[in-house]
Amino acid sequence: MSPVRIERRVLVAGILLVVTIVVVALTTAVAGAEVKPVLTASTVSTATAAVTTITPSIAATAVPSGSGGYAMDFTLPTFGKSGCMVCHGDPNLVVSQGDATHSFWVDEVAYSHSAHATVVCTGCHTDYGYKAPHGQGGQDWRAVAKQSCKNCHPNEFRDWSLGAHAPVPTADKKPDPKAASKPLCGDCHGGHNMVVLKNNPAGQAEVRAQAQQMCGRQGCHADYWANYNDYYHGAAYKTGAADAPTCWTCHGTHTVLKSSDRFSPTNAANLGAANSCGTPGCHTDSAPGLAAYAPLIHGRATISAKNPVVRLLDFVLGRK
Amino acid sequence: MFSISYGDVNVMLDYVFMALYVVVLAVFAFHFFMSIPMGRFRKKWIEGKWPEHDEPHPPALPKYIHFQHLVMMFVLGFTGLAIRFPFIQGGRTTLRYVHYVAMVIVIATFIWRLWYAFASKRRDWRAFAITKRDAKSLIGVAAYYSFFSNSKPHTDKYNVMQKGTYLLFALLMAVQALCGLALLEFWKIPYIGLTFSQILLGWWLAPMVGGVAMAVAWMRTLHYSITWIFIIVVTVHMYLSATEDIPVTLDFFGFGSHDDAEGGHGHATVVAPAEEG
Repeated sequence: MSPVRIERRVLVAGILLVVTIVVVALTTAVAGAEVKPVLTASTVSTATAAVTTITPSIAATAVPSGSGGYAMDFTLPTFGKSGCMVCHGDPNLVVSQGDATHSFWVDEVAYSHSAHATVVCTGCHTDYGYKAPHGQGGQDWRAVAKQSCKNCHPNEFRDWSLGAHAPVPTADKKPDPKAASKPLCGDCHGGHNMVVLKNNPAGQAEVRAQAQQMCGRQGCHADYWANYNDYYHGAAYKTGAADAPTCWTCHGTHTVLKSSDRFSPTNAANLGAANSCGTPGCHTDSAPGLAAYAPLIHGRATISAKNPVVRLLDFVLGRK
Repeated sequence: MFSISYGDVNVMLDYVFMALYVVVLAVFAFHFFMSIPMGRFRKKWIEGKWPEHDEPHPPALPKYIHFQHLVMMFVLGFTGLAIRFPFIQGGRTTLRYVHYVAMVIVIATFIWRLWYAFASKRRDWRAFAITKRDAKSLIGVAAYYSFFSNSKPHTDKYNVMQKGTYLLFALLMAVQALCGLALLEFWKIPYIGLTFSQILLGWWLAPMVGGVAMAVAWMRTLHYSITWIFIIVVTVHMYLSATEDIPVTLDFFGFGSHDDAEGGHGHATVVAPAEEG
């Protein structure tokens, strides 16, 4: 073998290698350009890798359709969360409805610390598997997602269904006309950032402090939140007293009943019971006589308004 | 069982006591204003003629006990009202513990003062005892404070209304301490296994109002009412201490000096003590 022939063979091999590298690089660049718009949005939510277990196997291509919706001609793996998070990991993911914009962003960091950190998206959003587009065509995705809680929490769902928060068919077996205003699990418990309660005092305290957000918000029981203002319960709770009762301490958790219901722990006849004022840590020596205090718990403002001193003051000051 | 509405009573007490306190402050303003045309303001604040006193500087121990009472009663009043009307974020647990500590100190101080009054070398219980001569002077003293008379009968170190007020303090403190202990419905006394609420209320009030918890609620209302009485009476005490004899008040707290040579602080108009018996 002469040195000249060796150099030619090396030269040919080198040229082939360079051509191969260029072809591979160009191919990769073209493929990368196709998924870039989606992946860029996803990467805005930075710490997504913590929970991502499966990556999309097929590149997604969003094509606006002419019918006002959109078509997604792809199938994402829904066994994990990664497929959904391609879109829902984007904080800018919103849907406009009229003048309102609704965020469909899922904070994956909060989700990864929630009680459902190990639950995949379709574990709750049961009707979402491999369907696209979703949220179109009259799907009540909220109801489906929330009602799916019973798959894992049947006892709690049963308790809820026995309470005043569950829809009740009318006498002629028609659906409850107030069903839309009645809360489902997620309305109280929240969604993707649901706090871990088991063996977690910090989480329990966090939930305990959310009575207004859970029960007393506008559209629910804002009036009862406002008048929960007696000296030793409501007023104390609102200043963060750990020993003051929150809404569900008295009214119960899942089987919430109206106070007029004879099975309600806040029914006057039951106030001395161990699940009412007699709850351990509250008034262990309670008896039916405690009913005398009950009107003050949500009624201090009403009692004050009727007070003759207040009425005289109002008259003198010309306030009414 | 009581048929009175617990809520109505409590709300009524809130407004009645607050209104009463405003009235008391208004009376003070009127009283102070009236001292100008009656000549008392000029005599005391301009001419410096303050009341004379039968004895020189008061001993140090009752002064200290008074100061300790003052501080602890203020702490008890503040924490107590902050527990009933929560305005401090973070809950009531710390307030309660401060209240308990102040309670123990006040009870100990009260017992200390009783020992001083009845069992110490300088026992002074007679200074607080209301005699027949005091009783006879009541109308004259009341007339002086209400400007119907410009001279105050002098019978003893304290006049009859002062004595009555200080005895009322002692009585209220004893009742308030018992009421406060009766509110402890959770802590069971070791070896006895009962709470103070059960011991103090379980045998008489609880059957009347439908259980120990409700008895505690009513007792809390009484505790609250006595707190207001304390607030009002202490305010009156402070106003009269300042306007009637500010030099001796300052001396009682270690400020200023007592003019022993002058038998006090000048020559206020006094009448001779009435003959006893």
